[in-house]
Amino acid sequence: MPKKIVVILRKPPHGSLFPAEGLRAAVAVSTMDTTVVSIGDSVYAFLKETDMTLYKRHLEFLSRPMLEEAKPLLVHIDKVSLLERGLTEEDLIEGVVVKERDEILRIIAEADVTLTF
Amino acid sequence: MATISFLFFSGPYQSESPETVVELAKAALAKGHKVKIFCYMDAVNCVMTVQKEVPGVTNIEKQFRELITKGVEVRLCTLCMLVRGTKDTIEGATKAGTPDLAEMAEGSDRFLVVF
Repeated sequence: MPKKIVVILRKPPHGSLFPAEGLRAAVAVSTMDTTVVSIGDSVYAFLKETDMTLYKRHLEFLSRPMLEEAKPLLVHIDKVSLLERGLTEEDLIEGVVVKERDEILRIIAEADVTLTF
Repeated sequence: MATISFLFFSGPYQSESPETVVELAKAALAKGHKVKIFCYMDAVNCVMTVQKEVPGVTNIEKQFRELITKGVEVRLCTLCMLVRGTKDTIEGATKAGTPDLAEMAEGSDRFLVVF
């Protein structure tokens, strides 16, 4: 049985390369049972106006897999982190999904491996 | 014997993170476990060969040499090395990519992330 992997993005895209590197790593592990979650300041990485030059292609790869049988890997945005920053779902790009905190915690709890960025 | 892998992010001489990874790796080795370390982002600079000996400061190069001598697999993110101009790394530390990180995640009994 493939391992469940969760890539946790925590850091902001401004002043940090961690979201870009986390998504690069997510591409590498995407052949496994992988989920990407965005919590804390990393939610700024997925705002419509954010410069995504460094990781746009990673997001595209994850959301539009080349193999027909592969399911899209959408970034799960923590709703609480979003609201705490005065943001709403309408501020976000397409290709991400907003999830309740309980769901984010469940994903992390069920993972065999967590890759934190 | 278990396989314990580390995803490690920090460069040398700014925090105690390299020392923490080294000590955890040594402790795992002492218990008979196999240890792998993936140096990501600034951590690739931990294995440069030009590190100066400073009294009172742990020499990270020497520590990583010791780990490799004891059988620890040290892998270096090649892209991270390229953007930092990291060259002249210690013998035994191998260039790698994120697919190697995926392999480590898949093949390890425990996977630890150290910033």
